[in-house]
Amino acid sequence: MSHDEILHRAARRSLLSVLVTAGFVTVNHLYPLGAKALLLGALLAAGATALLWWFRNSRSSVAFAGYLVMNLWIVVGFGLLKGFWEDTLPVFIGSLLASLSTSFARPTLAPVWVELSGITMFIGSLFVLYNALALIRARRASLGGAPLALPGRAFALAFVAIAAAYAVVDRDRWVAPPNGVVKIGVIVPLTGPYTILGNSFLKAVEMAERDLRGTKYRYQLVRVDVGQDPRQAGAAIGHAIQDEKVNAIVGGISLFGQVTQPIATAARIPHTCVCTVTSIGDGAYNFTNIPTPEAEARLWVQEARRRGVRQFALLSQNYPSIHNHVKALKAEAARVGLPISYETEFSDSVRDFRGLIEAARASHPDVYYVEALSPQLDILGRQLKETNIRNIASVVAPSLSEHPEVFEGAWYTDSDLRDIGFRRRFEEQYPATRFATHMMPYAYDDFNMIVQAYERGENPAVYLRNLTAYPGTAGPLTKQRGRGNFQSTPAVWTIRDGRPTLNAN
Amino acid sequence: MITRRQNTALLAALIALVLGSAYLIVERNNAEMVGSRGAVPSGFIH
Repeated sequence: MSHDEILHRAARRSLLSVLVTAGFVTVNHLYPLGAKALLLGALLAAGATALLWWFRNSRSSVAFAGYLVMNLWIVVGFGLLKGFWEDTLPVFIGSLLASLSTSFARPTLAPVWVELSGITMFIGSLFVLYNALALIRARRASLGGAPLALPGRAFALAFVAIAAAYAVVDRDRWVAPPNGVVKIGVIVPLTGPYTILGNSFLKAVEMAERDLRGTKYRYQLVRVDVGQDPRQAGAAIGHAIQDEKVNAIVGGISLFGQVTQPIATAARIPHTCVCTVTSIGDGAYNFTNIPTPEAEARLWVQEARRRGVRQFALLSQNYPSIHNHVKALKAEAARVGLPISYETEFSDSVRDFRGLIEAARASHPDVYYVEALSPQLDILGRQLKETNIRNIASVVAPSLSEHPEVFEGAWYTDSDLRDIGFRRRFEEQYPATRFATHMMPYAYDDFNMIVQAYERGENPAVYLRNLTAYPGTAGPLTKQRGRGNFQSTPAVWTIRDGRPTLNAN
Repeated sequence: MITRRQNTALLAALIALVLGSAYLIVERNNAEMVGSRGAVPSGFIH
């Protein structure tokens, strides 16, 4: 075979590997870029083809160099930096290291097709590299140059070195806070419909900060008002991390926790969230801390059976967090064989519940489960009272009522606030602020967990991953090692003399 | 001495092994990261 034929064959193979890899690049970039990825793929394919065609017809050194530069872009940019470092190493080495030690976060991976296209992009780039070197060798031979050996061993060693570097970089290490000051971002909405909860959350964290005594480091709160719209919260959170340099985040309300989660992961700082959406707690950098709807449902059904309830009616508002409670309650009731005599879900525009109440009463329930947000909760409570219905039960809702006296005698499940002194101190310090039993103790504990990590000289994310038990303000908190959801057992409360009262049991 | 065809088959098998194991790892990882409750509805107060 002549030098020219060898050169043509090498060029064909090289172009084929470039085109196939450009296909993988396109698929991989559909996820972040959408249709623009097609343009990227077309640019790679057309650019490489045009340059090689130019070289074939002119033997131009410029065309050949241009073609090699495109190859280099594919190998280094897409193959090495994206496919190898961002996809292949996290999938294999990242997962392996996380399974061996909690010093390594479990990698946050994209959908499977994206990760697989990233790995194939890397494999494709190896073919591009091999064929580009073969092309250089063939051209050199055609020009009468000395044969060029492929530095296979050097490449293999380079990949091993990069993998080792990944393991070093991937590890979360203890870093003492600069100037002895730990900055903790408090991420909650302080305006709009979440004002009450957001402000109460912030005050609970402020109280936790004031309660600190004799700490090694100074703890500074960085208040981040994320506004009312979760879609716009990202900018405020990013500012807190990049400009304010917060070391950790405590937050509340799932809508905002969902926005914070990927930002905290990217910054590799721990984020604790008083959130019912457990998927926010990935166990890498994000952790949730609040009784789960399933735990509430288990206790509710247990209490209902203890009280001799044979069937119950369900009147609930069509609202996502209430859905979560109702869904868990129905599953638990079905599991133990507790019938639901009547079930209705009303929209937030309903103000007259008398028809629904009558229909529920006709089903002869032993107890009426009601759950809604204010003001509907109070309107429903008032209309139930007017109909002489007193056997009311719920999950959390009466504790958030504007008029708890309407629910006098109602029982419900909520956080097990054994440390009543905590509540008393809170109410003394903030007499005009509502104490949301379902959130405040966890906000207080979340702050203190971060403090404990720093006081022990441990990376706070690693400390939280390792933590399996914590003596919480609202009862013991437990978590599986390496997991992201702190579990706590709720308790039964009753509205007595117009106030939530923890039942003694 | 392995033939060119055997070499290609071995390479294809190796790539399939890498992609297959990656598929299993990613599926398992993502299932555990998302948690047992599946999709996240919007509008939660807590």
